[in-house]
Amino acid sequence: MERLSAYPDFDRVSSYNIWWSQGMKNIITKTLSNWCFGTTCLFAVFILWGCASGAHVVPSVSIPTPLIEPFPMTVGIYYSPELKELVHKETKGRHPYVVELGNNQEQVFDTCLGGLFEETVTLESSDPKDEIVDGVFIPEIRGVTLTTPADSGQDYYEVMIHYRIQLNDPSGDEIHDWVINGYGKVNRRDYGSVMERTSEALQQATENAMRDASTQLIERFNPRRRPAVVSNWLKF
Amino acid sequence: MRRVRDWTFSSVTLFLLALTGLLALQGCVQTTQEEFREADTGIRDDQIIAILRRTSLTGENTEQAFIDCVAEKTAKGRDGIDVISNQEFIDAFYPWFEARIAPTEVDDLKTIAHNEKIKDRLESLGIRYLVWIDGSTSRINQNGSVQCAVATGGIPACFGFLSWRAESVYEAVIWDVERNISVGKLSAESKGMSFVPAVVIPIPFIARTQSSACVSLVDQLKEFIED
Repeated sequence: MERLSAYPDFDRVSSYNIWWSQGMKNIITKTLSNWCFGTTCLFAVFILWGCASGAHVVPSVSIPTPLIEPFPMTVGIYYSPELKELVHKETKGRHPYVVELGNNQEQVFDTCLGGLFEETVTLESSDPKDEIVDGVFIPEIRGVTLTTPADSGQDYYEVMIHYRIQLNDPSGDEIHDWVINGYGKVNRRDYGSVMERTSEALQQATENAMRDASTQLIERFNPRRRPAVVSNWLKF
Repeated sequence: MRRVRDWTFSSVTLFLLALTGLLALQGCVQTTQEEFREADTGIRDDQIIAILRRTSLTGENTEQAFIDCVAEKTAKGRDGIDVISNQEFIDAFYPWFEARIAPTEVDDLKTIAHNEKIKDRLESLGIRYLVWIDGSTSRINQNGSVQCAVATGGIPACFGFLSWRAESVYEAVIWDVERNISVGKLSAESKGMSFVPAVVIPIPFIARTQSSACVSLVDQLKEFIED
């Protein structure tokens, strides 16, 4: 130190080096410890998130206008209060799953039957009363099946909506009824690899299921698939 | 003094090494590609292609993220081709291309293309090729585990080692709407090893096989169509 003190400039530089080294050490130590703490916390949160589950689904389906030639007929559609207010609830493990299905049904059937027939009328009851219609459609949901990757061991969230769609003539007699299982599935990998967005995945699967039901109903009016009784009613 | 200076030097080196390591947190990926041409191709400036997801009600479904990646990258760059996305296309042609009734063979396309409404819409949108994408990414041979816990003092810590092999296998079948024929098939297969060592801090080294397969398929597709 004695030797160094003979060179004040060098001494000043050395002090500066010590100060800089200690400063850097503090900064690096602080940065690394903050980073380590942050990363580990984040990872722990990710893992805990994976343990949490359950979903509340409010679908908002949008069925496009079908690219088909409509039958030149007017049909009525009756949506029962039970259908319009339907909420599917179930518990898997200890986690609640809720799917609000009812408020989307008018969108599904107004669009699909609106594409199949020249005109549609929404009825207040299954009896058309003063409305002049060629037939009345009465959709009904008989059940819903939700399957998560935890249930199936597969990578998919799946939803199946079990519909029964009744077609009556204007006097109320049944012409035909269709049992349609609308099916939708989505890949879990599209909904987060670490923090899975279960509600969002089930919402999309539900919307796909409703869209599939609409597709199936349209397909059932294909001349090769429709029953004779329906062809007679259509007069085609 | 020297000790302090040495420590600082080694800390800085270590810090820089860690930083470099963090920036390069990717496992190794190996990609192979194949092409099968059935007919000549070409596209005019006013024509576009549709990137479609081949969906199956029972089997594996291609991830939406992969379809989005192919559509986005195909439209980009100097050699980019205008694209109509899967959702826009199936909405515009509802219900003809829904998973349940979509044509699976080019002969089925011939049948539905006779429908005047479909024909008019294909023409008005200027769609020349339909590119059907099929495939998926899967994890195989997953080993080990990482466990996290909050230690004394409230500090969370993770320990363990997790590793897996990822395999992304995708195929694109291309149909020419103008001639109602299949013009070829492309495929991309990426394999890679990912691992997450954790000693207090988990550090993931992820092999981005899906992204690599996407880039490979897009490069092939652009070259194939503009050939």
